[in-house]
Amino acid sequence: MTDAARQPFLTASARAWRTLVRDRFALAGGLGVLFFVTLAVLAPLVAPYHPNFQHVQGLSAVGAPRAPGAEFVAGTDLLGRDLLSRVIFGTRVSLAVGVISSVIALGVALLIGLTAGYFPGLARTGLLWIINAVLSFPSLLLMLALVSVLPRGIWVVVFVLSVFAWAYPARVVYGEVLSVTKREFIDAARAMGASSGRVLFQHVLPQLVPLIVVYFTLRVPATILQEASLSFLGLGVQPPTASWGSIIYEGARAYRSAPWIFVIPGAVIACAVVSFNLLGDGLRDAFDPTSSVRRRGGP
Amino acid sequence: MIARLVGILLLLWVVSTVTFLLMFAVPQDPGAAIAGPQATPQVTENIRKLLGLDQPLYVQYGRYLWRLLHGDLGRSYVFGRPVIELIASHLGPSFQLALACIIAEAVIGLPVGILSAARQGSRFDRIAMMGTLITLGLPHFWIGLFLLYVVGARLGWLPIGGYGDFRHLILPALAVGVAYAGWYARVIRSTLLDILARDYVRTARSKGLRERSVLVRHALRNALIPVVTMWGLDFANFASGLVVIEAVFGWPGIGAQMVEAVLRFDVPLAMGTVLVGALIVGVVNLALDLIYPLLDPRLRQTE
Repeated sequence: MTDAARQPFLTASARAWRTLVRDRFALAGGLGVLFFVTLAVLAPLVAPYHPNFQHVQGLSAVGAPRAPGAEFVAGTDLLGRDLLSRVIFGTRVSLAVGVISSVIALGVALLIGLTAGYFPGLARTGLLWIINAVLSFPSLLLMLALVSVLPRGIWVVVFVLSVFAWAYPARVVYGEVLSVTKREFIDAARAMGASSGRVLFQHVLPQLVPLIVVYFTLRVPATILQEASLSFLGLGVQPPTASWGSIIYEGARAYRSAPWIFVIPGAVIACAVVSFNLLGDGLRDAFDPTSSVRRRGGP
Repeated sequence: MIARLVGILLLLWVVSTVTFLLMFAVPQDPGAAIAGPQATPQVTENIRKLLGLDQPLYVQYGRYLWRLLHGDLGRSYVFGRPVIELIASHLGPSFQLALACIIAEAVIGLPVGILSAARQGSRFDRIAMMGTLITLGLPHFWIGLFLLYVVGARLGWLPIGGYGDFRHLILPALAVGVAYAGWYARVIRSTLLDILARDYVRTARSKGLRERSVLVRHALRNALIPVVTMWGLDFANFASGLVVIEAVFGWPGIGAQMVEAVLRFDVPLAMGTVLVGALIVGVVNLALDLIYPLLDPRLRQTE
């Protein structure tokens, strides 16, 4: 028998919390996420230098970047800027893009999923059709097409990364709303005379919180990787602003002579993405006790 | 079946309308783009007339759709040649690379996942699953750069990019393979574990079959069905533009062409690539629907 069964007086969220903190992998992921968020917030205090300052001693006599060493812990980039400082400030940009566009995508997904799930008829048919159409778009190509007609910059990146990302979670929300509205407590609320709005926001929405939290935690790392791809193509965050992807983009030109410029931000991306994914997987298991059985034997 | 075909046509129509609107929304004037910076206003105006840009929006839209139906995707601003020709000349390399990539994914991912499932909870299983977690966290272009640096530049075993014989294919395919093999390993592992708990597997075991033949003949066959789906979808996605990897390795596919078109504001070429990409995805999805019943007899009865 599980712990939860022996402690029936625990609320669902308290039980989820207990499962989460006992999950070593989820705990490690959570600490990782906490680390990166702190780093992003405290970037100016933590970074040794300004991210865009070009140090005279940052380049050798022939103009080559410095390898990691005593003065510049992570070395310098092609313009003699301190790589560690750029990566630390890049955390701000990459995390912000990941979080903001995930919030937008999930906001839209909630709105559309709730509407489609709760109001049958023309609204549902139409919305489902739109969701399926967007899901079958070649989204990466359309993202690039959008970038081709828009000015370059961070907000365009945020927009482009959220404009197709809402469709999948919208369908998930829709399915969840369908199953929640079939339950008895919804009928009870309606029988007591609750309005549609009240039923939706007081009774249906709270049921969706676990789903949203899990999906958000898993959406952020996916967005971080996409932002890195766009910036790596030179179509995302524009210089001199540092993001993890744009640092790799700048370093790619010198991947043979100065490999640390692309290696370090890539490793940092992996750490961040793995942290978010571990936390997300842990949250999913914590909210859904039946799924944790499958996870025995591996992260 | 017919519904699926209509679905694809509808999708293509929606995508083409979106691309049309995007082209129309470009702040840059196509007339000026074609004429170049030194053209007189009269020349620009003539080009605009020639392209029909002086007509109302609905007329332009009608003409655009009419041309699409005849396979005319317009002319590239930068190269001055028909878009359809430019894309066609890059399709071959794209398909080649896409094929190499899905093979690499499966060759790396499936054995790892199968061994993990066969020895669930073992040290190998734990290390392999941790490994997939890390490779799935790495950007695929980063793996590409890393391979270029280590295998191409440092060891000098393979060419550092460009298009050519089989040896040029290895590194880009390996990069994509390593980056996404994790999905294959995880999916085949969890599907196998699911199947190994079923009754017919217990029956096979109680008949006294060796574990190997239970795994291969009874479990693996059924576990491969979701893998085929992933394969098909990946192939469609890759063929319609392995954008970043093609850019890293200088592979002349439609993805790299798309990036160049976007960077040089070659709007017709960019939009044409989107349409061709949508077509590839649609056709592959249709093909997958046709293949499923062949693989899974249960699906034949429902049709």
